[in-house]
Amino acid sequence: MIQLENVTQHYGVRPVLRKIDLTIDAGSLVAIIGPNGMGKSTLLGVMAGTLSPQHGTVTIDGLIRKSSVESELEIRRSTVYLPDKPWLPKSRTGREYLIGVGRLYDIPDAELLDHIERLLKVFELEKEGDWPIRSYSAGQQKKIALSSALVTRARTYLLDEPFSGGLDPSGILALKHILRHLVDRDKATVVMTTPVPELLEEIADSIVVLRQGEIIAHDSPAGLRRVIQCSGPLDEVIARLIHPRTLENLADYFEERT
Amino acid sequence: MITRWIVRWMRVVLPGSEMVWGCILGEMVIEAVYLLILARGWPADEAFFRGARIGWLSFSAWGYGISRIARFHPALNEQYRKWLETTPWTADRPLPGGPIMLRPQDLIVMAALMGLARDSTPLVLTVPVGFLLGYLTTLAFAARYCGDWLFAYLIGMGLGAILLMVQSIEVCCLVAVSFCPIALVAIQRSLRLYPWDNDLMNSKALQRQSNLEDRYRDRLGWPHDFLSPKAPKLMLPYHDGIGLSLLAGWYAFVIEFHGGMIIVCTYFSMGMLGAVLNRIVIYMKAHRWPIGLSGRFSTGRWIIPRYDVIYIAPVLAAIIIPASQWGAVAMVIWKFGRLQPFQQFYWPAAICSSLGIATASLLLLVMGPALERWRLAAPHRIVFDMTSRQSASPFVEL
Repeated sequence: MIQLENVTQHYGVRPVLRKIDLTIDAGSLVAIIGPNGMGKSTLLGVMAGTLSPQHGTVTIDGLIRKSSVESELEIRRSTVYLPDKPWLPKSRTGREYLIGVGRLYDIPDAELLDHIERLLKVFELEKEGDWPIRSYSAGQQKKIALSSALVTRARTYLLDEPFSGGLDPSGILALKHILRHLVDRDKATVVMTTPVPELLEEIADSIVVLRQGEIIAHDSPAGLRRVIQCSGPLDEVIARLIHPRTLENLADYFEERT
Repeated sequence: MITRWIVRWMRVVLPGSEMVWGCILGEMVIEAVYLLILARGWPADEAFFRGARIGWLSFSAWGYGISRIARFHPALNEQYRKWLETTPWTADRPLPGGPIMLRPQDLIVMAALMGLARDSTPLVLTVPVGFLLGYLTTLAFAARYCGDWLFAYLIGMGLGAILLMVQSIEVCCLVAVSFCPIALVAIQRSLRLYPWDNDLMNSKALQRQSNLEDRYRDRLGWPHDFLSPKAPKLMLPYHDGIGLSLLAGWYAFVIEFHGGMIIVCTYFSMGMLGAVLNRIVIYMKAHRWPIGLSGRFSTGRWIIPRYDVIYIAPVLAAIIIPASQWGAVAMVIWKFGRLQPFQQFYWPAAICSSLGIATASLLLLVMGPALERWRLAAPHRIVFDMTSRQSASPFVEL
């Protein structure tokens, strides 16, 4: 379980996150959604420990982030973070890289090698797994980066925009199923950000909507529809939440043209 | 038959043929010039040639001393060490590559070099002193690489004592020889610690990788390197911090003893101020302020105690260094009326200056927060700042 209490974060004068209180249950897939620059990646960075909030605490599985060396190490063992722009060792092959990450998380070798083979197969990188990462396309690099998070067998996955970065349709399909499988079968907690809501309908248990650094809604897709009283597609529901005037503005725009 | 036996016996300790021929060639050049001058009937400057001979032969002896450890101690020779690990060798057996203990052959080499100097004054003792300086210096490094920090720093202090006495070559030689039993104990201790599986040995092997990509072979990039779930390794053990600080202070004193006060007050101080900046960079590398400068001003959080604690040691060191050096200079001026190159030794000033160097070093190397713990539990913003834009970067950004 992830708990954020009264989290305020800013680099300069303007707060990026304002007094965020959020509880994410264990064994659920939560998507953080919102317009660009509204604090999605910052919120994930705070959960991942790459950022330290000016106020408030982040608690993961009962341990407060950065409160002590021991608790921080314990959190790191059970949590994996994948930023939207990771840096990969370009001279290592995809397979070597995944073995390195798996060993970092103390995954037994036999289990690790088997998992790597299955991941490379599902992401269609079996042949490319023995090539240096520098020779990969952007989409293949994204797949290997995602595999590096999945290979850790962590309890908590913090994924910043996992569906962007050149992932092809088969990769998107594979990732959707893998994430759902992690939550349903392994009772893992997955928190991800995305700027596009279309993907979330079928995989997200709940959606956190951020605007101006504040959580304006946190509910299941069905719950959000009820609140907004909109039975349309999820992107319309989200648009009504974040930009209530967008549809009115659109109507005005088309009216003027006609 | 006897000649062959002698050659075989001597070759056990001799360095590579390049070094032997280099030494012989250098000596031949000096003698050739000397003979040429005599043959032409010109007046030869005997003092100059005596100095040149002794200087060259002492330098050769110093190189020989280094080679005696560097060539034969497996801790300093990676290929040799790796091969040794495949054998059943233990510390109570002789080293298969050759002895590192002092042998009778070393006496013969010294006698030969001193004979070549053709000098009956005590100055010829520079040759064995040169040999022992090279031998002990290399042994100190070998002992530290093997994990025997106590004897490494003890020998380091001893080297300072030898240099302290350098104005009287007889005393200097006596001090150097008196350290031989300590050296022998240090060798035995270093070999008993075999197979030397320590962090320093591994990092030494890693640093040898000249290729940037090879050097970063074990790195996993961002974020796995910076959010690693493994407990971080200690950057500098406390005993090394204390040992290095004592050495810095002791060598500053030795230099001042020989009239090098200006050297200590300028070059040592500049080096120390460089170390102050370096310590700040080491801590702040990839771990920046959690809030920018404008944020600090606007929120009134001028100080973030758990982050800003890293500045205490550098600030104290930056105060102590100029204060101690200027204090020492003031003492000298008060005593002698002026400061000049190769200033006469004045012990209160030398103690003030070297104590300042030692204290500042101690603060920079030992004072907390421990880097490894601070990186895990302090409030900061982790930023991946690999020299990433360069084409030589070992990482690729997605």
